[in-house]
Amino acid sequence: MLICVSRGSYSCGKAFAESLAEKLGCLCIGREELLDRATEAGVAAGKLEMACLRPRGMTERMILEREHFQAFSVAYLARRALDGPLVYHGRTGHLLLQNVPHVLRVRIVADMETRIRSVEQRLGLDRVKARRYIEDVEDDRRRWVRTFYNLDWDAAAAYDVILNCDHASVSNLAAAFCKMAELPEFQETPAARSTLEDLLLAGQCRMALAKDDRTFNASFQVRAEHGVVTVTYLPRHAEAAQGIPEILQGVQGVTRVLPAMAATRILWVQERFDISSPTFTNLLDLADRWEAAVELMRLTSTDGSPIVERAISADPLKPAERAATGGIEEDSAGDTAGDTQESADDGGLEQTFTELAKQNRAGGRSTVRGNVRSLVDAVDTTTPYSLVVVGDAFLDKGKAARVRMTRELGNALHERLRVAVIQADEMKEQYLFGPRQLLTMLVFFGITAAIFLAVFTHQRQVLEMLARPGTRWRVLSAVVVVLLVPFVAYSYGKATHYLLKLIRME
Amino acid sequence: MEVFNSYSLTLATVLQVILLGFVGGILSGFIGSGGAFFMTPGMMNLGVPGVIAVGSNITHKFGKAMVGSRRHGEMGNVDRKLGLFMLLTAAVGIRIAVWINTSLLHVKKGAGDAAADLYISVVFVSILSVVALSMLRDIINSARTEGGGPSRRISEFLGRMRLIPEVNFPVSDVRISLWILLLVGLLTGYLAGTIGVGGFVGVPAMIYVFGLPTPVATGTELFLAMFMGAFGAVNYAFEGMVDLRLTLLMYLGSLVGIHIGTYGTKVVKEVVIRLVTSVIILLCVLSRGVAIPIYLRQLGWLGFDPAWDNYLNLASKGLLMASGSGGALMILVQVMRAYVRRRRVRASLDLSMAAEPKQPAQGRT
Repeated sequence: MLICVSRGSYSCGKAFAESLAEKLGCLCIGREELLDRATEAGVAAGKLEMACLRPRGMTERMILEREHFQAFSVAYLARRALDGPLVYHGRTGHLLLQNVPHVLRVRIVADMETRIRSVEQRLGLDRVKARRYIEDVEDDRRRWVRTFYNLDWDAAAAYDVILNCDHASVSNLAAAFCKMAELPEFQETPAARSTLEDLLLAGQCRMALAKDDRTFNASFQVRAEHGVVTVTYLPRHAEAAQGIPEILQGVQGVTRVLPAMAATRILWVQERFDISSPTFTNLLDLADRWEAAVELMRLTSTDGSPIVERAISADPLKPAERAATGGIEEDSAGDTAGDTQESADDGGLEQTFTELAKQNRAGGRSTVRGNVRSLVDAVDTTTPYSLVVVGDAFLDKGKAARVRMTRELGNALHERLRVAVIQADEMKEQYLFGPRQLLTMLVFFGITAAIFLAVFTHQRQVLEMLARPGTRWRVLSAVVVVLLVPFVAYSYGKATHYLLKLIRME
Repeated sequence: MEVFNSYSLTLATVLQVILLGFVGGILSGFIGSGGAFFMTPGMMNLGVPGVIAVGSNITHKFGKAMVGSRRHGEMGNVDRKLGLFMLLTAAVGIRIAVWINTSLLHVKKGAGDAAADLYISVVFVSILSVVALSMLRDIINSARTEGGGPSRRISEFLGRMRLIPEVNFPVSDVRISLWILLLVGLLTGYLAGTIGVGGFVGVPAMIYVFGLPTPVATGTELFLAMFMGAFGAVNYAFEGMVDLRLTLLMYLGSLVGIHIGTYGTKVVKEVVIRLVTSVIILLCVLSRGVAIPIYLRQLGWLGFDPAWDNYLNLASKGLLMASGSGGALMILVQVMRAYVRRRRVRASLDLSMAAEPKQPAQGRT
């Protein structure tokens, strides 16, 4: 059981979390404790807080500290959650472990009047100042969420439940909420546990890199899956990255380290991967051109229904009643024969990942079991992807349903990540260079050359036309300029764009 | 229109204009501005009258912004509503600028277009000095305080003032007073029309005054520049002040250079980008400043030997070339180093794969 309470200022969130933890008999951790532990671990949490909250953006140093703080927070909470049931309360409680399937995300709200009274009593401020104080704190929190996750703190869809503590006591609300917390959807499964273990390992590895003098000043994206750790770094940090294998060897649980230099990341979503497929070849070509790391995400056991229904057991912690949930899957996590069989067949994920690692393009891998919603929830919004490629998915559906669902998946991913999402078969056309692109390039070069030839072999006439007095001529010259110039810019721009693509300099 | 017809192109000039476009393109891709701060004075140094240099440049910018804003639009970085609001007064600003520029031609008999050149140079030096020094101050402040990034003080102060009516812009997630919006639009348009570098005011204003995220400010400025460029091009072309040949020649260099400059931003640290930008702008300002005494002498407001014109012009050219070429060279070196490093990594990978036995690697090391 893992409950994350997102609280506003003076809206009883802390009291609710503590009451709930007491009733459920589980550990309760607050944001304040997280900040203290992060500071002890060497993360400049205080400076980071100030950098986020004051009217000024972030330096590269602070962006790096943000990376460290995120890694530490995820690892700290994952470790506590692995130890036993946990209630966490803080401003971004609902976002810290956003791709863990069984997290119950709660938002506590209270009426402004109640909060103003609370501030008046506790801080001794008058009404106007109390209101302004609350508004300022809320603005700071919104800014923090936007800075860290590029999301809207107030978006209701980010929470499973929003509770108003105006009409019921905190204790009664917590008592009523206990029943919901016991629903099977919010219980830990082997798959969810595996996800937490991976997050913990990735966080530990990132912190190990943050603590080492060689890699302290470099930015890294770390992914872990069953002990295999993928670290991607920017080209300008290539020198620092040479120490990665040695540093991560000392981290417990690491079985393999795959560093990859990448200026950007591409997410490839597919059901079955095949290294001999044209999609793989094209993607590798694209990754090479863009100096990108490719992250693999496998979607299996697709289900058209938006909610996976499960029975409520008397004791939700008994595994017999648990069904496979949507979420990141563990290979050996299946409780049933079917699960075990599916685990053995990884849909070519391992082979594709190994091939990408050989090419220095591996950016991590994961398997998501469930429907479109499960996959979209599992995608990490803090990772800066440049492109998402959606390949063959929903293979157990008919062709029409497959096309529709793939399109829906693309749209949902675009909304979530706000980056370009394309189908695998569009990749060559849009981003790679083939005979068709060569022909297009030649046509555009031809058009540009023809225009230049026409202008420079008739310079005198062109100049006379542009400078001829008389309103009619002036209007004509303005029209010619406004129509011709963007046309040349477009033609020549397209031609040079393809030329640079041809010499692989994009 | 004898000013226009008197300017003839030689092969050397053609090559220099292409080179100006190339260097301007690299700087434009690297800095994110239009590159006119380098190309306009560069053309003036080649002997192109200031008004024609501005007219041809704004026309050149129009086509480039059209292509650029399309790309930014695809990435969701364009706030069209904000762009259209600013455009309302930017058009007025451009019209004012074109009117002043063309009125100053032959303001004094025998002085040619010295008055217009002086006016353009003074505006150029004043505005870009402020921009470059502000950037340098920002770099120093961010290094000292570890806060960094664009300050939001002005936008928050204006937000608290609540100058109604305010307009909501959902794409940028900001509320801006209509009056501030129109004022910034007017200034941007005026500067785009006067010196062809409206972006140097538009982008910082959107970031510091409106509180826009930087990518949205850049995308929206390009969207605005497309319309302002079109309006400016129509106006200057109507006055017969656009040399189509110069515009086309600039494209030859700039559209290649812009890709290289953009690639450069991937391999150079952000603080270095800002530092290089401010130093380049300062050198451009210095270059134009050195040329100002020439125009003052031509107008009879300063007395010195006309032979000095050559030296001053030479110094102005030298400074401009040093700033542009130095900056572009630095970017080119970084780009080539990254390109070579990439090829080296590729080659080492190919070698290691050739040495590896051909069997699927299943085990974990």
